[in-house]
Amino acid sequence: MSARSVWPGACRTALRTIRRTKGRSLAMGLTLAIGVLAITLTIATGEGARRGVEKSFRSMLGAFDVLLVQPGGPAMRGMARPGSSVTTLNPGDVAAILATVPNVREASMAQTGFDAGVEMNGKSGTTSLFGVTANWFAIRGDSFQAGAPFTSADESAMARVAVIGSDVARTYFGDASPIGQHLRVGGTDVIVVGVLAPNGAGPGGASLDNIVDVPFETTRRRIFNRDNIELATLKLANAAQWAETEASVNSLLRERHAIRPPTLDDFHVTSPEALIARYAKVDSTLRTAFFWVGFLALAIGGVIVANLMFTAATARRQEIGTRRAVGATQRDILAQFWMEAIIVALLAATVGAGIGVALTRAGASMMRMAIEISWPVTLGASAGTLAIGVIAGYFPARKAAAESPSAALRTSE
Amino acid sequence: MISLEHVKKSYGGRERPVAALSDVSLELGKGEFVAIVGASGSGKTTLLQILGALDLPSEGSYVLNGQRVDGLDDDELSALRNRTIGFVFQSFNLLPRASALENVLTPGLYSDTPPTRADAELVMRQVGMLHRSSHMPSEMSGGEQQRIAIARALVMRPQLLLADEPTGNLDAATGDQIMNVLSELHRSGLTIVLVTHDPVVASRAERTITIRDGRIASDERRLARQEAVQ
Repeated sequence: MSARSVWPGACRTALRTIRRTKGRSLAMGLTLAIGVLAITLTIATGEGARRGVEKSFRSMLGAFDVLLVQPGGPAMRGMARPGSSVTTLNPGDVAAILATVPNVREASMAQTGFDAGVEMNGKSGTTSLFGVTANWFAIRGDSFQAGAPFTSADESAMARVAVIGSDVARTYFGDASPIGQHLRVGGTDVIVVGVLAPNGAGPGGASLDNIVDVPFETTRRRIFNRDNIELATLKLANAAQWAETEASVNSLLRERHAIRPPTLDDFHVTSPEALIARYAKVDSTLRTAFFWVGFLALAIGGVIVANLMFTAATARRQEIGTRRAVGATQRDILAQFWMEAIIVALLAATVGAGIGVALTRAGASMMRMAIEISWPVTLGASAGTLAIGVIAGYFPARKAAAESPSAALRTSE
Repeated sequence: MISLEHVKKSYGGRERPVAALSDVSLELGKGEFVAIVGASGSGKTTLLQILGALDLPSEGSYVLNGQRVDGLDDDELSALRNRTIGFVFQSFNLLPRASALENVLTPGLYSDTPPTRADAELVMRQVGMLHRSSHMPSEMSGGEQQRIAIARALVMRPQLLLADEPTGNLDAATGDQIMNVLSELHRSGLTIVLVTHDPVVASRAERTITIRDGRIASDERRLARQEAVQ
């Protein structure tokens, strides 16, 4: 037998059929393209949302190798609620944790006051006022666009100094450097020593840059005049052991607060992993739903391709018979019909993924949406579509090829 | 050139086989122009399909150009049809979405040595259709479509041309023109077998084989008759 390859001719013939029966080709490919498009878009939005959540948490928490201790019981569990009236956590608790829980290497404390008034240069507004220990910036990994953090010496001295967020700097000082300038916040005059680099929006969407940080002792003794704290950030020596450390902190604080079951805790400990996992769970539910929409479209598209190709295998019996009469082998016919389905699937995958990527890019740039193309998913969906074409096209093609030439020609009489 | 011996062909399952050909033995010489006639259902189309290697006999032997055809596998039969046999059909069987030229070149898709565009244009000129090469079948008359079909049958330079009711879908005048084309091909040395139920068409051939109930009922050579008259 000859070594003639059946594929080049089959591809040319299939392409001609696809080009000259555009309506049918469109009917075959449209659902597949929609499937790829749906998967590309939904995963892009899902992926973008997931990365967005992670990024905003990172901005808010600064670091991931920490545990957060907040006052208030488990019923109030959630993100930090600074300024709440719960007063069950104090510097003594934090000192005890630092002294007895070995995995806690360092701890920073924060007192917070929301809606603190700010005045400067005749402008006034409100900000979030934080009283934080000097190690707060290092633990968070904050970077500064100007100046430097205040020191523990400032803290001991109850110094009237402040580190301000980039929004505050822009609002009250414009283009001028705020370093060394005065700012009135919470009824106290402070001198600006540092400006934080922008952090963007937090998980709730609010700006993390409209803040003023002053030394912890300054708020404790001069501004808020209270001893309780709203947040302790515990830096872990070994972040992988966060769960064990959380348990140790829990039992220590229960002991110090004399809490025994059935009394509920008056504090709670959170890990960034737990917070993100909770967001990611919502996110993954949506993604699963979206994925199935796309998957369903691909499955339906496969059925449509198989159906139309089976119809073709019957409707084009005269063509099959004629081609066999002029010398086409069974493999020639198989290859021709199979390539029709494969090429349509390939075109559908390309068009669907192309539109998906284009829409994602357009959405990301025009609407500043938190969406991002997931190449593994887009390429995976395209490959899946191609596989569907390969499978859905094979059986009709085999049927067309199995037709005996004499029978195929007789039906046309 | 062609030798059939005790060829039988039956269709259908084992329970109720239908005999299409009962016992046909036949010799055809090179360059003959033969008409196979008979009523519908007589088995004449089955005979043509066996001659054309589209189907194999259930029993008996078929030798074409000294080669046993029964016993060839499907790929070998395809190659034989591609190289040695040209087909012309009653309903032309052009590919509707291909131009005249593309239709003529179709057999080349299935060949190691495909004909060139010049080869195709040569046979299209031979059937008087070169001016229509870029037209689609839907833009051509029946007679024109059949001429393109004949060009397709000729493009591989076959040794045997088989025509199944080639004038069956054409009016008398057009059918006559198609028969002129076939007669011309015969004069140039091509072996032609055509199936028809039309005595006028059959009279254009040199030899008429009548099939009845799957058997050869008569086999007449016009040349022999003419000698008898003389």
